[in-house]
Amino acid sequence: MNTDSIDAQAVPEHPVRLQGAAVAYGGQRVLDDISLDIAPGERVAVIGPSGAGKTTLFRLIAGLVKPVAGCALTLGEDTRRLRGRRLARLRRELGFLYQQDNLIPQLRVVHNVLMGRLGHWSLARALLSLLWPQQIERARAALARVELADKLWALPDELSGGQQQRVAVARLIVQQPRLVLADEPVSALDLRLGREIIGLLCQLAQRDGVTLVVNLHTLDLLQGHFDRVIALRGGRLFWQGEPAQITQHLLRELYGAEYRALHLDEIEVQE
Amino acid sequence: MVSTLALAASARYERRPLGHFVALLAVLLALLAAFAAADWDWGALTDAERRAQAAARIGAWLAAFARPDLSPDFVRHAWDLTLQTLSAAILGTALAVLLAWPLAMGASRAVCVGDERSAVGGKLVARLWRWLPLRSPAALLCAACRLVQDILRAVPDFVWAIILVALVGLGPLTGALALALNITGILAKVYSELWDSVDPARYGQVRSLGGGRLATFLYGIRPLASRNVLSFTLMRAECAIRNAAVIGAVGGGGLGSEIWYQVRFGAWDKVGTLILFTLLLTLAADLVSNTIRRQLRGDQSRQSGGASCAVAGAGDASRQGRPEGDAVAPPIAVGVSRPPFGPWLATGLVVLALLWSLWFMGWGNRGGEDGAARNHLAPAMELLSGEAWGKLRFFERLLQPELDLAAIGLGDPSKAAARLKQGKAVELFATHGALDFWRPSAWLAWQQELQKWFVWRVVESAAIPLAIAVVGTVLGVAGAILLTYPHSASFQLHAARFSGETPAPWQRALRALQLAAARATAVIARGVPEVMWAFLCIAFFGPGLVAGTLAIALHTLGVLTRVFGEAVDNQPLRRFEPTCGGSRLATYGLVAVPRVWRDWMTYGFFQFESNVRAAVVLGLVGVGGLGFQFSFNFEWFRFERAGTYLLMIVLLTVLIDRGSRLLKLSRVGR
Repeated sequence: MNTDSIDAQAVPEHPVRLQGAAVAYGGQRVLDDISLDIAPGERVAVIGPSGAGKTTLFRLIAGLVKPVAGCALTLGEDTRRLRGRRLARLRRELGFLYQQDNLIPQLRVVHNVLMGRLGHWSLARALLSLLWPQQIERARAALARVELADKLWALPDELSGGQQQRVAVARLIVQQPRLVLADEPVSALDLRLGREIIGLLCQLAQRDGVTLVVNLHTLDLLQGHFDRVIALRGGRLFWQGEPAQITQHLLRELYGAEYRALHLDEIEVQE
Repeated sequence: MVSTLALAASARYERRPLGHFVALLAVLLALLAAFAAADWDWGALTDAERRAQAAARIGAWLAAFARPDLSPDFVRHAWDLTLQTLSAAILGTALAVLLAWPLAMGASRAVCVGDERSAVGGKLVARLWRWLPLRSPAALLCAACRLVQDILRAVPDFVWAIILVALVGLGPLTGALALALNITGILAKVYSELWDSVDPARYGQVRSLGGGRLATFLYGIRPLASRNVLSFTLMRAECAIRNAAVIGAVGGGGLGSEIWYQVRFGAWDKVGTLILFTLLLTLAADLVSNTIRRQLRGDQSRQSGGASCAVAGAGDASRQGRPEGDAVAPPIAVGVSRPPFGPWLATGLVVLALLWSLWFMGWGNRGGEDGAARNHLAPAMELLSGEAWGKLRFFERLLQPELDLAAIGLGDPSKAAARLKQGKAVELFATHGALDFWRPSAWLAWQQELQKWFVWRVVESAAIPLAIAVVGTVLGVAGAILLTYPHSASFQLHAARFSGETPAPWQRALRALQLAAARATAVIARGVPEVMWAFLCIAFFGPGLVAGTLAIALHTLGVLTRVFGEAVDNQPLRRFEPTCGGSRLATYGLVAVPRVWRDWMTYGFFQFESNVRAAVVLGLVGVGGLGFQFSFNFEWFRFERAGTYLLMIVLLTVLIDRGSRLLKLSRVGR
């Protein structure tokens, strides 16, 4: 522990550092005693059965829920004391990707992508951008990276589900956050499109040195993309390790009743 | 084929869309037209001396508003006036409902004409046949009822009051009758539209059981539409209370006459008290109607298992639309075993309220000058005995509007020639021919020529209420967009839930304070009717367009801030989470507002529509334009000219109405 804190001063701080953190909704603990460090540039997948607290873990890291015990440090900031300039900095450097509702259906793709610049722009410039998009070349370049350059002026409703998620990724590219939290980003998509989005995210993380935490429902996407897997069960940290270390036995124990329903026995892991 | 389609689509997305610039340009053009069409006297705002005077008057008013006249005598007087206003509103609404039902039954095609088997074949012919009122006596009755309801509705209650004052004299009864006439038209139109919009297939079985047209209406159409009917009645009753509070300005009694009187004397402390009582009345009405709505919403969820046809229909209606209710309640089955009690209770309460208002208006009212009880119903007796009708001679003249045909060379040739000789006849192409249309000077000359014709001047006077409505609505919408941010609970109280912020206690307190201040502003702006704002603005800035525009803008601000705020606060907070680091204000401007923008603009357009009508009414109390010209000519016994202006008022209302229906923005069925 001691050496750890010395390290933290020497090298860049851990983007995510949870120490015995607990979260309670209405008196009931949905997360308990979570201790977790994620290193800069690391790509982490979070798995676990539904109700295990995966989403709550994300909200805890994002500072949207506060720990009732322990502490949560995100990008070096204690999430319980966020306000003013430090809040603005954290929110600028934190990128989100949700399963849905990422985009504003009433705004064109270009505005949705440029929303990534909100943390850098003054309010006046942001409002002007609604009339005459600012830094449009950035949006064009980001959309080109997700192969949607021709959809600059489309409305989100005119795009397919996979294209919408790619627009949200383009927004992350424009935002240039240090930490990306993706909460089940591919659950609404089929496997092929899901692989594409995860691939895009990991490519983004590798190229820009972004730390990536992805909450996954589909275990097929684990291999080859992530440095570490974190398994949650019943609000507690159940297991963590490299993707290659996952076994059928572990999955059976982790998922319990859901095991069969998810067809996990069809997944190729080392026995 | 597919690839060309895709190409076309992608080409479409690569072009920058400019729709919002077109919309902005349209608003700008409307504003420019509004500024060009009327003589705006900005002196009250630009001239330093007059501005100082206005500021001093506003200061005096604010100071007095903080210390209203609360002497027991005056408070009792104000309370009596409040009750008088309330009784006038109740009486007016009750009369309107009673009159509107038969009128709406006549005006509704489904009720009055029913199923028609066209005798002539062919689709087009059948359609034309349906538009011909002379095809059957029932169809003729239907067309006549529609005409009556259109006229009743298009003449504002203030205009009815001015006409009725000549008939009945000053007093709350005049106000009640004026409200009743206008509301009858509105209710009849909405009732008949609601009844017509019920799908005939849903009451087909009443037909097939052998029910006649009346039975079909009573057991089929009426229950199916009852919820919407009751909802709208309730909304109108609320509106009637607001209007009853100001109709005194033109002789309708109640709070309005007293405020008008005290404003003229500059007794600001008394004005403050009266405004407080008005706010009390309007906000109480707001609260009561919301409670009834909530009650009925609860009723509906409890009786969702109801079996009777009516209940099923009511359930359907509520699923499509909105919660509502009133006293003449629909046959709601609470339980199968015992007869429903709620409707009886509600009916009883309404009858009690009605009896009370009759009693109060007749015998219980001491709101007069000397505090003695005065029977305000007495003029109604005269009306029944026929004495008052003798005074109605002027009405005949009102119905013969002055068209000034001599000025355009029509009618009596000798008169026309005389006019021409005086040089007061329209010679449109005297200086500029029709082919000079590309010269601005030609248009000026044409306008000057046309102004010699009285009817043209009438039409031009309609530009003033339109201009007031355009500028007032734009100002009000802009203000509401700004005020909605501090007004929104999502952004002031719950922001931590989507931004992750932990605000310091002083920040929390500040935001709560902002919220309270914004809500208070909106409540006052909305609770004080626009006519009352006009009294105040006229007192501050002098009569004119600026005062009227400010009055409209203030009321619009209050009304719209409430609905705008509801639209924002109804958004789930989660939607504001992925904002990529924008501040709260940026989240409001770039996430919340775009999401609700379309709804906001629809509300704004509705408000514009009602602002045009309000601007005509404001003309009556001194803002100028169409309304002013009407009351001016009426008071100087130039009834023929007043008749022309009245015709223009009706035309303006009908045109705005048709216009919005053309844009498919009708309120009914939403």
